[in-house]
Amino acid sequence: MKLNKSLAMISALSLMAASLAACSGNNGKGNASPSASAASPSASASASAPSESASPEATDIEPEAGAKLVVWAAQEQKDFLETMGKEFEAKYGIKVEFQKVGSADALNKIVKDGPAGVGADLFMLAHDQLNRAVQAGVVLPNDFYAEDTQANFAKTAVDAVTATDGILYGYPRNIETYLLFYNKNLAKAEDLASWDAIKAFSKAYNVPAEKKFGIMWKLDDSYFNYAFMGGNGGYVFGNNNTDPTDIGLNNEGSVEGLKFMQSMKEVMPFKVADATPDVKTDLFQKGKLAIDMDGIWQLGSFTKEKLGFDVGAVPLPPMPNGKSPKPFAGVQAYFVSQFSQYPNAAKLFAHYVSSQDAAIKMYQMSGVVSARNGLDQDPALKDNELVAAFVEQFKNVEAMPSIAETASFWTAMGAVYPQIWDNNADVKATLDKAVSDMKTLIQQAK
Amino acid sequence: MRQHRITAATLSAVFMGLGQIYNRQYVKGSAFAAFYAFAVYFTIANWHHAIWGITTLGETQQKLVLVGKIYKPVKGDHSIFLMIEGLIMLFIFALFAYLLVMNAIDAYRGGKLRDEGKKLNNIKQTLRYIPDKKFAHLIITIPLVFVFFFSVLPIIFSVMIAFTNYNNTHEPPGKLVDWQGFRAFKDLFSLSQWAHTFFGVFTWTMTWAVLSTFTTFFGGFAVALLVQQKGIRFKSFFRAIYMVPFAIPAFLSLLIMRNLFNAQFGPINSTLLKFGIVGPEWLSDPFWAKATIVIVNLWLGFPLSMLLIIGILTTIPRDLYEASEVDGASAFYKFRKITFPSVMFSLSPILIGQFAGNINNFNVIFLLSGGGPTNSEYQFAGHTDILITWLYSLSITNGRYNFAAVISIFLFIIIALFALFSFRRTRSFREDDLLR
Amino acid sequence: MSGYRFRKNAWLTVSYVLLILIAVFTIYPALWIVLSSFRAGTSLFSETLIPEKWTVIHYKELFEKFQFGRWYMNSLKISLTTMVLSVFFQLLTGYAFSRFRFKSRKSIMSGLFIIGLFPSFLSLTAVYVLLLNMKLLNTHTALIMVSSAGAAVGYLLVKGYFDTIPKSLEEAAIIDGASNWGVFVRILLPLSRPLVVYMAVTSFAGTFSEFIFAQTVLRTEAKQTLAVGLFNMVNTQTSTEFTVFAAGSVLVSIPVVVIFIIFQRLLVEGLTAGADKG
Repeated sequence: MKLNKSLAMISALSLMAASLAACSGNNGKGNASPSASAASPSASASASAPSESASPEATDIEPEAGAKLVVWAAQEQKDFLETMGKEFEAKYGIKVEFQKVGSADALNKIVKDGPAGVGADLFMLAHDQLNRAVQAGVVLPNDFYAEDTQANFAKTAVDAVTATDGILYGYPRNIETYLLFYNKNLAKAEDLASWDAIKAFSKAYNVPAEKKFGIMWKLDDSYFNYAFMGGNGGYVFGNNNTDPTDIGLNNEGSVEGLKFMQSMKEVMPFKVADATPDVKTDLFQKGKLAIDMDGIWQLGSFTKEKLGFDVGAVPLPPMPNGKSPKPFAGVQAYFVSQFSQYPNAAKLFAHYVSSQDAAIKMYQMSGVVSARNGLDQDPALKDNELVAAFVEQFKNVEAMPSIAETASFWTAMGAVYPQIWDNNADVKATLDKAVSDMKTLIQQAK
Repeated sequence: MRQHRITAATLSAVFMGLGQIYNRQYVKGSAFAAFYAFAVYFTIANWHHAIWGITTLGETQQKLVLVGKIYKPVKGDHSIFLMIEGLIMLFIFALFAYLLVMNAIDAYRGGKLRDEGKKLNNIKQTLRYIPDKKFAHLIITIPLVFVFFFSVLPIIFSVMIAFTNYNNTHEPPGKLVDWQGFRAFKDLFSLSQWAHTFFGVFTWTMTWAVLSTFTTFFGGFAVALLVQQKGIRFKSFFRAIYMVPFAIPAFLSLLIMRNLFNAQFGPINSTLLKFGIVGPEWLSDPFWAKATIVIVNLWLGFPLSMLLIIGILTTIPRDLYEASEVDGASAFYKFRKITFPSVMFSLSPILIGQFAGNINNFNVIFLLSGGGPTNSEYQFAGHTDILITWLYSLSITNGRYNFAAVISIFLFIIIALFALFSFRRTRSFREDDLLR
Repeated sequence: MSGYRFRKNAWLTVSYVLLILIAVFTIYPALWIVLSSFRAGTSLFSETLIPEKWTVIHYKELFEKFQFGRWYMNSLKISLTTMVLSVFFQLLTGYAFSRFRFKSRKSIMSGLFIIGLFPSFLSLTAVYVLLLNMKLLNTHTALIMVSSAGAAVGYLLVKGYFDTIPKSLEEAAIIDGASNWGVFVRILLPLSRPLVVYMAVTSFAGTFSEFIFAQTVLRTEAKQTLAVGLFNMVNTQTSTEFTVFAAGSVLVSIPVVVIFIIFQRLLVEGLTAGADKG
């Protein structure tokens, strides 16, 4: 994730991404989450989130005459957006052009292309980049459809795309998080009932010489490791991730969480740098890795027809102290560019692709489950065991921090995991240093 | 009698082409004058905005205004665009000024010829004269103008950024950027706790540059000699194979290499294990991570050196070897006295260039190890981080472009001083007996 | 005599062994890429070199899911034009510095030399704005222009090379009334075939695999180059296109390898023969 952040920082250097391509994360590929019920207490419940349920808009915004739109999204969304674009054109006479720019690159690109007059009218961003986008002045608020969005989308998602200035900016698409996938031929649900059970299972199952391992995840990534800290009372920034002067990454809970993570080493005999997502995914696909902690974007790949075995999924189970890890969630949303020549048409299209009908079509075409309320009741989704597990996991997630200082978190924490994992360093001391590094970074940025 | 040269030069300095017309070079003079009229018009039209933009970096900040329930954007100034556009204008003005001076000098020379009672070239003669006597100027002008705008200008822009507060909290178009003098320099050097990191990273940067340059050069040299020796068959087959690393895009090879060198799961260690050898922790152990990077870089870089050296080997006149064979020279003697000096003569500047390039070799380190394994004693740097990757994670990751610019400047000074010093001592640079 | 011959044969054998070892060292990662492209599944990582299940689906996907053919043509067009222009610029600059003496020659030489050394991630922004003002964003011209523009910085190699060519060759031609241009085209160029090949191959391969700059300038799918298209396959954080990426890379690498093999003979023949005649 740290690398992921850096990526987002400067597109000119996106070549590094090749190495990071592997990083898991909240970006890029779309697959979705029902999430209706996901109201995480610590999610960035920032300034304004009108709770009165407004009635959906009766009228639509009037698009500009002669408008045409350019939309940026990831390759996986191409079919869906092009289909929607054609419908939209038939209905309103507005042409929509799809261009492949994933949400990880969109911000850097729009910062350059927007003022140059060649940027998209509508683009995808992950919510953790929202405040930077607002600061950089590239996004228009979701004004006309604000009440509609607030009424119809999961609160976690709406809060996440509301900036620290209290204004709603995004048109949420879906929420992403991670949980434990497992190979049903190798492990049973009971083996995943708790982390102690996972340890016991792995001890019996591991054969390092044959590359058989009980459990793996991307060990160098705060995106995943944070779950153990967050679940124990650790936090990144105080006041719902909005107060950069209060850092909770070296408090008792965080230390306890990472100490637990450190204890997993006995059943995970490899170095941080070796457990790359590529290795992990390959071992899982080949039926050697039993349990794979990975994100919702794998739903499309982890199917019986692609893998040849049944895949199950469970939310992250409780740690030995009885608390459950709390994973990060990221919200993918559409944003209208401040440099769009046709802002009304762009808002109209953003609204159009977020409608109930569009949400169902999106699930059918790309497997992404919209963050609209009530979608998890749809029969097609309800019967999907993996989706159900995600619905369950969404009850206990935390939206990633999105204030501008968050970059320092990814940077400073990146150094922690090799220390405590490969070198058995003292968790408390390592985290203390990371926090002081973070403070230095934040200070310098002033 | 001295009047013509003074008059012509003065006239041309006041209005381009007038001096030439005075010298009765009517075609040339009119062409100059027409250009001058355009240049003056262009300068007047753009001067004010360019100067204003580059000094203030914009005054109005972009904002949103609430109209009813709709937010309307109000366009502001884009500091970075203003800076670059101002810079472009200044470069164009500088080009005009340069041409004006050259034009005055030309008029002076023309006048001087008249003073001496000689005839001036007419336009036809001029057009014939240039390719002959001014050939060098003619052929390097276009490349130099390109370099001026596409290389020099961006560098000056980067340097200017160091004197601003351009970072992710002052990011256009949303925010304005301001000049802030040497503040970024001061800030950077007040972080004294970073000295240790700087020293460590700097030492490894230099070690890395030396190792990588020498391994690829001598690796390529050895392979070139091996392939080109008499009696080896399938020369072109071998050469073709050795070119493969060069043909594959480096970012792809590096991705693959990362997998190959995975200590726990990679095929290299799996293969070694079959022979009963427990392979090293290629990318997790500080020493081996460095070694891995050098090895991978050798793989990537030796084909270039090999191709270059084979090219040079073929230029060495055969009779040199034949003569020394008659004298009964050994193979080693021939290598030491003929082959090696010839190669070094042509290649030494390239070697220096490669050395400097390796100091800045971002791709290999970043894509292969990402600077890791982390070093807990360093501030935000790993064991394999070199200055430029450290600079990246330090500043760019955190969006502080002005810090990045400051470090770029220092890195540039170190490299340029070193490179220039050695470059000016190479024979290729000093060789001045080839005057035509 | 037989001792000499034995030693010679022994050395040749050692040479062959070395050559083969180096070939293995060289080809192994490349082979890995090729075999990955035929491997079923999506992951680039694999424990075995030889795929357990072979497939050509990734090659098919290249053309079905992506506009691979279009990208290919774009890349060829850009790389070939850039190659011609930048070799031309480099040769001319090198020629000027090697054979002529003029005012501030050394300053220009040093200046050009160090310009190439400036480490900056920031200069791209300036180039971007330049192109914006020239209305060249999202055009291939922009790529060609920028890649060729910097070429003169690489004059050193040419100059070093021309310096090794004896001047006596040219003097004869000048006495015969050849112009500067004539000397360049008729004497120096034929003598520098290996150099030209080298520069052309470097330039072609460089432009062919360049994606950082191309990515900032080109935005529509139809204008994209191979490298940008391929890179984007693995660019996203959750990429699952590694094997398709490998297949694409194989197709990208092929023309470069082929070009080298075609020009290879020139390398060997060119210079020695030319110099003897001179």
